[in-house]
This record gives sequence, C-alpha cells and structure tokens, in this order.
Amino acid sequence: MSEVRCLNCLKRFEVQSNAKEATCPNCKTKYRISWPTPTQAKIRGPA
Amino acid sequence: MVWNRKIAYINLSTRKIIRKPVPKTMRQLYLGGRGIDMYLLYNHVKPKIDPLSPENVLFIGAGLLGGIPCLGAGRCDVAAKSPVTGGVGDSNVGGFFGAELRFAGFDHLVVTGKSKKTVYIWVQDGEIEVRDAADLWGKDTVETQTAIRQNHGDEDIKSLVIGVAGENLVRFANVRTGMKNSGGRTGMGCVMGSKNLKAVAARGTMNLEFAKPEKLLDYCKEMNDMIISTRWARAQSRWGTMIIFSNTNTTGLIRTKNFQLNLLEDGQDLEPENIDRYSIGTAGCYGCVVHCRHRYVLKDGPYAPFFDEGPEYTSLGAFGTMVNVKKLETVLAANHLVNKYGLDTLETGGLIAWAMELYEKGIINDKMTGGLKLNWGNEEALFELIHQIAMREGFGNVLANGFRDAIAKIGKGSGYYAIQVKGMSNLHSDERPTPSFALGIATATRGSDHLRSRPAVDMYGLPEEFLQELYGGPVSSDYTSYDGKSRMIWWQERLYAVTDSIGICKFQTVFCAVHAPKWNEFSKLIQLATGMKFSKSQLMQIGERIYTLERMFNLREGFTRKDDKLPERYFKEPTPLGLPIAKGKKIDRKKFEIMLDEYYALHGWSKNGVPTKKALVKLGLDKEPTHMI
Repeated sequence: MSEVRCLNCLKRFEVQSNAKEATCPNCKTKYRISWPTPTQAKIRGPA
Repeated sequence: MVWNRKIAYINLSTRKIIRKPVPKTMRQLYLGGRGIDMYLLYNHVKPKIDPLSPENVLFIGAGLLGGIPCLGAGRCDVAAKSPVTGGVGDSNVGGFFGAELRFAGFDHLVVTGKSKKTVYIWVQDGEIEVRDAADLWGKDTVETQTAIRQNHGDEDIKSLVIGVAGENLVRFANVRTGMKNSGGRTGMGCVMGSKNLKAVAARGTMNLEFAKPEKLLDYCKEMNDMIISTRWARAQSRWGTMIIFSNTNTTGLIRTKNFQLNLLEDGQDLEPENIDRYSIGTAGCYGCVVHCRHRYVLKDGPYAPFFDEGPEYTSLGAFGTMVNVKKLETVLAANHLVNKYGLDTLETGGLIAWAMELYEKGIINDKMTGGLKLNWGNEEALFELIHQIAMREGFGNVLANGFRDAIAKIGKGSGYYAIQVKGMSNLHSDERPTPSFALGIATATRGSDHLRSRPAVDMYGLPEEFLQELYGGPVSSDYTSYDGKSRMIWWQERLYAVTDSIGICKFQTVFCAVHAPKWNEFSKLIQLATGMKFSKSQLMQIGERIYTLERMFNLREGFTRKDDKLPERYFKEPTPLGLPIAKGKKIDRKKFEIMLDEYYALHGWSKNGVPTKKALVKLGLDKEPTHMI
C-alpha cells in the first residue's frame, strides 16, 4: 500500500501495491499509477 | 576562516588584477553568492549603461557554504546587467564550479572592461591569469571544457563557459558548466561574449578551514538524511525534475501550443518513466545525495548518437508541450542542441512557440521565416530554428535579441501572444489557476521567473494551521485562492535569496518539499562552517535586504509598478482543459491588483512599488551605493 495525493481534490488516498490504476474515493478522478520505489506510488497521468 | 576567501577584480581592458579579502561586514549583511553579487551589481554598474558595453560588469560568486558536503552546496551565482530585461541579470548554476572556485582561493570575481582578443580566465590556488582563447573560440560548451582540461593536462578543472550563442551575442545565451548545468536565465553568456570572455576555469587544492569541522560533518550527514527522507527528493532522485510533468500535465497546469491549451493531450511519451529507455544512470552536483539528473544516450534520430544529461522539466515544456511535440526523443535532441550552443532553454522554447502561434495566425509567413514551416510539432523546423538563433541566421536572427526586439520587428499585434514579463519568457507553467505563481512571475526581479519566489508547496493543499506557522500569517490552503498568497511570495523570496547566497540547491529547501531544511538549519550550518551566528529573523532580514537591493537596481533602470504585470492573456483567456480544479480559470484583474498592493505593503514599499525611506533605513540600504567592496 502507498498513498498519493489526488490532483483534483488534493486529498490523500491509498493505492494497492503494484496497482497500475487508481481512483480517488473522494472526487472519483481516475489515474494511471507508477512506482518510483516498491513502496512509493506516484500518479503517472490521467487514466 | 572559510568566509575569508578573496574577491578579485579583473579588468579585461587593462589586464590589471587586484585581490582583496571579503570583509566580514559584507558576510554579515549579504552572506555570499547572490547576496554579495547583488551588492556588487548595485555598486559597480553605473545606471542606464548598455548591457553589452565594456561598462557592464560580470560578477561570479560562490556561496558562503560552498564546499560543504550536503544540500548541493557547490552552486555559483553569475550576475550583470541583463541584456534580456535591462534590469537585474542573475543566474544561479549548479555543478562543481562554485566549490572549485573556493578551493582555488576565491569567492567572488568582478570582471570589468572588454578584452581586445578572445580570452579565458584561469584561476588556480590563489593565482589568476587572463589567457588567450583563440583555440577555444567557436567550440561548443562541452568541447570548450574538454579543451581547457587537455590544454592544462588536468581532468579535474571545472569551467564556466559559453557556447557559440554567447560568442554571437544572442541576448539569452547562457553560461554552462559540466554536461548539464546552466546559468540559464537573463543572458549572462551574452555578457561574457560581449567581453570576448570564453570561459572562467578553476582548479584548487586549498583547504577550507571550518569553524567546527567535526560537528559540521555530522550535521551535513543529518541534513542529507533530512532531504532524502522527503517524498519529493526520493521521487526526484528516480526521475529528476521530469517528475513534475506527471502532475502538471494531468491537472492542466502546463502551457501547450504556446498558451492556447493548458495540457498536452496524448503526451504520454513525455512522462518521466520513459527516460528509462535512454538512461544509463543518474548523477548529482557537488554535495548532493539526491542525484536528480539522468545521464542518457540517444542512439537514433537527428544528431544521434550522442550522450547528454537531463532533460529538466523545463525542456519537456520548451521543446515538448509548448511547440506541440509529443516525442521524448525530439525533446532530448533539442535539449542537446541548446546545451551545445549555450542557449537558455526557456527563452529559446518560448520564442519558438510564440513564432509558431504567429505563423498559425498568419502574422508571420513563409517569406518572413525564410521558408521555414513553423507548424505545430514540426521537429525539423524546431531544430533548424534553434540553429538559426544560435548562429544569428535568417529568421533566427529576428528572435535572437529576445521578445522585446522581436515584437518591435514583427509588429501586427504580435506582442499580445508573447508570454513574457519584463522582456523575459516564462517557464511553460500555466499560472492562471494559481494566483500565487502568477504574482511571483509578475514581481520577480529578473523577469518572468519561477525561481525567485515560487511556492510550489501551495499545490499540496496543506492545512491552514501549518501554513500559518510556516509563513507567519494567514494563507489559504486552496491554491486557486488569492488569500494570503502575497505573504507566501514574500516569504519564499527571502528564503530563495538566502539559499542562493549560501550556495545550496533550491530543491533542497522549501521549494517542492515542505519538510526540507530552511532557516534554522541554515543558521546552524553557517555557524558550524563559519562561526558566524544568525538567528532565523536575521537571515530573513538578509533575504529582504538582498531582494530590496535588486528592486532598487530595477527602479534605477526605470522599472515601475506597471512592469509588475502579467501577459494580457492571463486575464482574458480562461484555461480550456484540465481537471475541474484547473479548468476555466483566468486571473481576476482586480484581485491581482489587491494582491500586488498587499505584496508591496509586506515589503514596506509604496503603492508604486518603491521602498520607503523607513524600509531602507531598517535594512541599512538608505545610503546605497556605499562602495564597501
């Protein structure tokens, strides 16, 4: 698990390990995800 | 003691060289690097001179903490009157040169006059010579550094050099050191070229004597641990500043097609992950544990094969989104070209993107461009125009003097489409959804500038209690709000002025990472390194002094409140794309003016942006110029 900050509502949300996509539970914005390190997720772009 | 490295005055007309100690008083007032450079700029450059005349003075200054093993403390400041803006010329460059200059016994070089022949300055262990540079003239920025090392038979020489763009007096030519590091902004390479000065090379083996060396070393380790523990530094060490692209292009905060769109659709190839296709590892500047720059090899395509470093986030905009190029390989090749020629990436990309929009709108045509088809995404035209600018050929020569001159030459309402402030282009960031960033580029002392005051942490939606404590007053956590943003800019200006003066990297203070070292950590580092004590408020006052002196320089050159403005498009054209938080945004003119009033008031400046007598007395600036050094 890792956290990212939603770029639309700025709220943090959890991303499952190795997930390639994630959706902000607050504003429902969907992102593609990458992993700079095995434990740190990062938003790559819009899904 | 470490603060007592020397200042040298080098007259290229007479070849006379004078060496003096830097008085401790100057350290107490301005620290070093940018701070002392700004004092020298105000005191040594006469009002209203032509920036390309021998009367202009070039200042090269290492940071006060240059040479300590943390926070990228090898940075160097290069200053002069700017041939781009006519105001403060100042550029801060990383790499290893700043530290090497200190090891060679000098903190500041003041270069006056103009050499009849092409020369370079050679600095070694307390000695300075002016040497012939006939064999260097015409070489690119990497070839020049290699030739200097070969000529001296020493692979450890560090040089600050110009490319052919500087030789050809392209107004926005930069100074470069190493493969990647650039003092990019405000045309300091052009000033060097105007003096027939190809390079300043340094080699030093002189010890730096620190006040508390063992404790300093321990604290440097603590600082390195502190910075690398931040999410920002960990991500940056993986993908460099390219990492920013993911957020800005997803949100809609990135200029595309000059200023027509605010994100690049189908721009996935520019995402930082794709540098892995070409990267052979990362490298860092002096005293840096982050290592934010990729070393990459391009085997195919125009100008391949080649090796280079970067690209920075700035290149993704300048040669990607702004000109509607969607291939990373094209960006890498353009980045390589401007690096070799010694051109400011931002100014070059900004001007080409502007020309492409003018071409699209029929304001310029094939006749004017000499047949260059300046269509969006035309990479051949992009490469050719970079070449023409550097060589001052064809349509490139129309752009080579920067925005002001090109607007005057082209006319036909072309100025409306130019994204520039005070004559200098903007980063490819789109500030319409972020009033704090907009105020920053409008008021920055060296023209549209993201490195004078940008509060990148405004983007994180931090709790207002936290922001109040950090900035010393109420600040909205909503980055689209105008509330408290003048305070943010004022605080960041002072922090960055001090950061540039002690010679550490901005990415290792509160720029993108909120838990990075700042005032108290700087204070302790300075004390352990130099023995000088500064409280947080004293350091903030030094930042204020430096920034106010820069303001005074610009006022003396004729700048007024009307120059603290934004391109008109920021007020008229709402952002067409992006996430809901960024879409449909433009700057509210009335709120912007209120923000500007607040900003002046925080500084103690009048409604016209002029420092009051009271403010000057408080900072000890009321008698400037004082000619102490």
